[in-house]
Amino acid sequence: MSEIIKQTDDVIMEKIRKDLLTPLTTFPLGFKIWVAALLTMIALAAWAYTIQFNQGLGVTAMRDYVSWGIYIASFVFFVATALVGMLISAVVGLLGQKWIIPISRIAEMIALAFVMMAGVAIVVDMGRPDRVLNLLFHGRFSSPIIWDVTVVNVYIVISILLLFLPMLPDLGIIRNHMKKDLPKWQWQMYNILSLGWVGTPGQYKILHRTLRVLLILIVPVALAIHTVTSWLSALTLRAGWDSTIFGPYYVTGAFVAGSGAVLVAMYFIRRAYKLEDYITDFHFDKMGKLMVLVALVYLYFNLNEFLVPAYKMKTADAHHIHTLFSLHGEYGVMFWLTQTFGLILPIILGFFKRFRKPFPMMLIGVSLVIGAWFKRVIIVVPTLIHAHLPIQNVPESFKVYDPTGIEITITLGVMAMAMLIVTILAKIFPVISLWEIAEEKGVDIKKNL
Amino acid sequence: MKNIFNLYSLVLISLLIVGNVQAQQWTIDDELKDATLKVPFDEFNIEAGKAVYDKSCKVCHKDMVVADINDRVLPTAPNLGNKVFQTTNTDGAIFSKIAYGNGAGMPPMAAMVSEEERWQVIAYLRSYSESYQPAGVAEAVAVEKFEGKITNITVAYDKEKNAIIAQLEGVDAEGVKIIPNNVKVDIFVKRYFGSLPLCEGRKTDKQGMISADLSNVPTDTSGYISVVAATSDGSKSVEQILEINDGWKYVNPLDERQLWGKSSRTPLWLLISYLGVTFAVLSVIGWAAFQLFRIWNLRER
Repeated sequence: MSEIIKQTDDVIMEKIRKDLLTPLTTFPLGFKIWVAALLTMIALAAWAYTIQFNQGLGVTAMRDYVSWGIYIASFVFFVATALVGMLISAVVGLLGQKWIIPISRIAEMIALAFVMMAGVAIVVDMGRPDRVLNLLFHGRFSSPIIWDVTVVNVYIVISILLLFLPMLPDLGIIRNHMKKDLPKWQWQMYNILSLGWVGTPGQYKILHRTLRVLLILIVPVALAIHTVTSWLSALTLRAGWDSTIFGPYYVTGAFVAGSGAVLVAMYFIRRAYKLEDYITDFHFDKMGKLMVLVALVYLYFNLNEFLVPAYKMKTADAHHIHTLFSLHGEYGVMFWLTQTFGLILPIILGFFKRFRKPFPMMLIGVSLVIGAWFKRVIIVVPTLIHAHLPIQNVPESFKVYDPTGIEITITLGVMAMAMLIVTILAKIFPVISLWEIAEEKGVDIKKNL
Repeated sequence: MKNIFNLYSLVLISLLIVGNVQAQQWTIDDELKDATLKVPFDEFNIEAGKAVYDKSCKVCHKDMVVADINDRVLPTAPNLGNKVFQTTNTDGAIFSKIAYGNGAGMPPMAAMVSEEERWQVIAYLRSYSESYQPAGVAEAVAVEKFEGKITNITVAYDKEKNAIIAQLEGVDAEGVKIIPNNVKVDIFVKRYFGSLPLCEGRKTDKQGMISADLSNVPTDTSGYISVVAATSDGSKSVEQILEINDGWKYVNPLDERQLWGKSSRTPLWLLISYLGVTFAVLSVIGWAAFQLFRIWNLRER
């Protein structure tokens, strides 16, 4: 009897290993083209950045009034998208939802890559990046910027731990079974990273307890990271930022952006790695429902955020609101396109089962991510143009903000970098947790798999 | 049933009307009913009364104008210069009305306007009545108008009263020294932007002196203020720097723990919260890293 079970376990594990570990050793053409494209974009951005570094921020369109442009908008976007790691693994996971098992690691990879790029986006926005260490030496504890720096770095560390810890059993499996399939250095890397994982009950006990503590810890930390990011704006007295609900407004917006990113990543990873047996239509359906839920909450916060000042029409707010709401305003078209494609349309489509299929969900995800980025531009830039004191006696170029080519190139480069990190992480590590899938299928995992 | 309801309504409405009328009734002290002006009906009291009127009455009653009947409607309070008001009210009745009000539009002013001020206001009101005859103590005292020339003003600081004392000297038309009584004087403290009036148009007393309260006026950091005393007609003006105290102590808010201060002066609550939360989170992360080490320790040797 025990012989039969043992055999079945081995058969199941054999299939899981074959399905999930093969991508580690194959490099199809599509993958190479994709990486080459990203590297080209990054190289272009690096060239643009040398120009910006040598000539200063004058090469961007940022001036006295609009001192935060698409770099900071990208920073907010990256932080927002990174929050999905906490949403999927911690919030949904701790609620006992089993369907997140095949996608939680993808979410963690996105979280890690994007939060790292959030830090890069800040440095890119600095005219004198060599002074970045001054933040440590001369930072003021009363400043939300210091809180932000602290919390972003803490989130990076926790994200690494949350990605790495549940991977230990998988790394053990790779070490045990792939010595002949991998280059020596790569096998050595897995060997070291696996920390001698042999799957004893003692190791599992430590793993589960540590994971549980970290998953609980990341909830307040993730809320803090985005609330503090919102405070960078909301703690100032400016039209469009002077809002008490900016924290939750940002957090819910982050969940929308993150859900979109996960949907896109799920689709392409599933196609590239042929994971149709693991990431099924069921998972897209579930993710679609989750997306609709968070988007509805975000819609509710949008109503509050825009209708309350629009009803009162205080002088500076009125001007701000007009440029957003009126199609003749500077940001009117962008605003309504963003709200339509980044929020309203995904909600409406997400209600129908036929749109909660992989391909439509991917398209909606792309729409959400692009909408999310433009939404951050709408949050950051128009406020800066609508100062409380009249803008006068300055050159015309100070009164508008049209990002320059260099700015756009660098921004795209940072985004390519984020995607490259996700790509590399998904290439060198199994994108789906082998041991959790095995446990789902009833394999006794408390042994050296 | 309907009748009962009608009757009930009638009673209710009557009660309301009576209540309302009662609410608007003037309270007049019996002993004051026939009282007459308790201060001399002279220029000094009329002017003092005008100051009180301007401060406490004018906001509703506006400027007084001599008229046959009250020509104003709500929300403007009656024109107190009208002949009907002036002839039907005794001084004592007006005194009571000021003190207790009528429970509706006219508020009780007793707490705001002292008895003397009330009599002075009445003197001022009566100055608009052609037919008013002061009685009793209210002998009209002829006010000596100062006709001479102010030769000098000395300004000094009275530490006990915390007041600025201005002493005027003058000569009459023949050049003989006299005490300038009843001369209007303005006293100001000079500031960077505009002067701070301590008193305006106040008259000198019989010694030719005038005193202006200096409470709540800050000095410079060395304890000095610059005072200007001038006759209201502008004929004489002096400026003098007076030593008042040890100097106004400038407290730099940046020297205290403030939200906007330097990092070394971060408010304690904020510092403790920030460091506490950061330390707690980092400890948990450190603990998690230590768990990795424990897993490594359990490896197959």
